[in-house]
Amino acid sequence: MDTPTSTTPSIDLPTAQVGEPQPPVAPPVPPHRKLPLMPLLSIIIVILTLIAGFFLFSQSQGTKQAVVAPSTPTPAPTRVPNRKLSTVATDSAFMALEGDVTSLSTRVQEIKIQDTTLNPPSLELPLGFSK
Amino acid sequence: MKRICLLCCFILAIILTPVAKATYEQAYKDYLYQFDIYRQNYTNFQVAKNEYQKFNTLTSQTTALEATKKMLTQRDVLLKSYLFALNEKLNASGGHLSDSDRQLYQTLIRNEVGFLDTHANFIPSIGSLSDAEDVSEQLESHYIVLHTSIRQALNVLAIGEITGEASKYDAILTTAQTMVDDKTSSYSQEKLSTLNRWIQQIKNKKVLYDQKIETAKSFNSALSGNSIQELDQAHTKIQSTIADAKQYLFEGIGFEKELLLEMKYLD
Repeated sequence: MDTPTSTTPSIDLPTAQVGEPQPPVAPPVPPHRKLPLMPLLSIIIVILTLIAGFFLFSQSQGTKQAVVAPSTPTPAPTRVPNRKLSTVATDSAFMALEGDVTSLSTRVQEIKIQDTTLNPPSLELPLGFSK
Repeated sequence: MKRICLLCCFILAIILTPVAKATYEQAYKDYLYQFDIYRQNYTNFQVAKNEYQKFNTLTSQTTALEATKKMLTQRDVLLKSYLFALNEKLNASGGHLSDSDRQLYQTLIRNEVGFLDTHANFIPSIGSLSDAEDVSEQLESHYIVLHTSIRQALNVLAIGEITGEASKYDAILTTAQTMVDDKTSSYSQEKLSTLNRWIQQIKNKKVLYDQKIETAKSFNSALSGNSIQELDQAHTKIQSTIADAKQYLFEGIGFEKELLLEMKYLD
């Protein structure tokens, strides 16, 4: 009984004998290039993140605009509507008084306590000859 | 007859105020012009002094003496032009200053101008650098007095401006109160109570304002110092007090606005 001398499978390749025509040799197959998966995945993730971020941003802007531009005007809270005018309100003297207060307020606000244009000249008095 | 005289005075005041303002502006321009000349003369003096101190020659001494005399003369001219501008400012302040205040400080200014005129008469007779030192020291020893008068006049101008507006504040309050009293029957009790509270607030602010102004006037009358720095510190304190008074007045005006707003409506 023949015992196998080797356990590893062997592949029989055609070998050309001397003098015989050479068997056709297949052109070398270019090695299968594996695409760089990790960088490609990173780029895809970044692009998707940018798209998602832009989408969320535009959503929030849209929401803000809706808040900023109300459809109805907001009434001034300090004024109670439908207040009854007193008899003095249409008095010309009263209206003149209102004007006086407004102009007085402006004038007082504009008063300069320290008018720097009238600061006295800053002088170096000692001559400095005798030291 | 009295009314005609008052009317004439009023018309004259209206006509003369812009004239006074124009005079002040002209005086101020002259002061700035004299200041430019002084700066140039002072630079020349410094250069001549440095050369003399470096070389100590007769020529450099003569040059330094001439430059010193020219600078001292221009210094007096400069201070006089400033005092003249200040005097015109007091004139141009119109009804804001009382006549007594205006006259008092214009007298002080006239006294200082007199001192400077006397001082300027000593300069032509300066024959040496030692003489120049002596003449300069006359001004140096008097300078605190001069500076005090200037600061007092400046404070009085600020006080006068605010006091003028405070009188209008009182007039507005008086008119408003009269209107409220005339229309008492048209307001409810609650409304009248609100109006009277505003009126009281306005009066309270005025009391605070009056206290500050009186303090400022008192400090100003007693303004003094052993040095220019001390004087300037005291002056700053007075200006701060005047600023407090202005703030009280401004707050009171805000209350007057609220009072008028309440008077406008029945509820």
